[in-house]
Amino acid sequence: MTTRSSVWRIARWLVVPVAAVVLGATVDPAALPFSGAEKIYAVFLLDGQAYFGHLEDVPWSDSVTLTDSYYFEDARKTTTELPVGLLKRGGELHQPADGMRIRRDKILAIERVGPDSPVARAIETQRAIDRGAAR
Amino acid sequence: MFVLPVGLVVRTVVVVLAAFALIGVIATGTIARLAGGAVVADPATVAAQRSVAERDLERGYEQATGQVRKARGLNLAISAQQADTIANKALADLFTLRHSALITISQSIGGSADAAESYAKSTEQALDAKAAQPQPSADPVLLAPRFYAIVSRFNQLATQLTDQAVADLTQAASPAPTPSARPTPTPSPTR
Repeated sequence: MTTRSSVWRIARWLVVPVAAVVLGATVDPAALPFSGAEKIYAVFLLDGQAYFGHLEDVPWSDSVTLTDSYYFEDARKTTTELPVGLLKRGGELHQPADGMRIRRDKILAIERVGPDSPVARAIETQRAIDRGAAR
Repeated sequence: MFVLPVGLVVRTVVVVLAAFALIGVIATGTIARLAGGAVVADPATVAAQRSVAERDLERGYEQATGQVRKARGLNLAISAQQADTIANKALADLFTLRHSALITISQSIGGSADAAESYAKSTEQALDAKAAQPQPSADPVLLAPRFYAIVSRFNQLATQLTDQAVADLTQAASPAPTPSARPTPTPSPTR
């Protein structure tokens, strides 16, 4: 048994944990599948608009994709209890068919939406309504 | 002499590349979205949102009818009979509008036509009974988009009806007022 073969054997076993540490640091734990409840994200843009939905964030892309998305509308002229109303994206005249791509340089912040937040509750209720209407 | 174990190196490279690809796909969140499913509200949450929507509708209805009654109470240039005709028609239209909105709410959560009609009638009675009583302030609730659309559309149409009624009531006296000749928006709070 030579010294070189011993070094090679040790190096071979080190490759996997080192790679795991390096790669693991780049992965968002919240993006792991089967790791808790549904994840809805809020994307705040530089112009003040906010969108909510499922986020696909590819690190090497210059944009992020939001699907099943919702956004706020000014509701101060209505008699709702809050000055904003939640709208589902897709009812516009051009009826966007799939996800919405947002350029990274227009994004101010991305945050997880709390599962018990008013936005999450409104989205969950909308899904229940959609399912009820589909029945 | 050291001999490079080519087979082992190739296997290692393949494993590392596969790990990279897997981690890359996971990091995008695509698998999490596909595996996670979507949370759907339970019936209690839907019922709570529905009652908030009813409250918002009632608030709009009271505002609109209050404006019409206030305008009717002014010293108007038109005759009392003309003013009553205009005010009563506006109040009836607002009542129909609220009725349609309540039916739309019921149908949007899967109620049949008959169930929606009976729901609308019973809710109207409950709302009218509560109207005179002071209501405890509840925590503000963000409505689901469908309920918000109904309330928002109701508000738009109620505002149109009210503005038109106030304009008709406060017009200068004329020999033949024709309040029914004006275009009336369809009292259907659906988009």
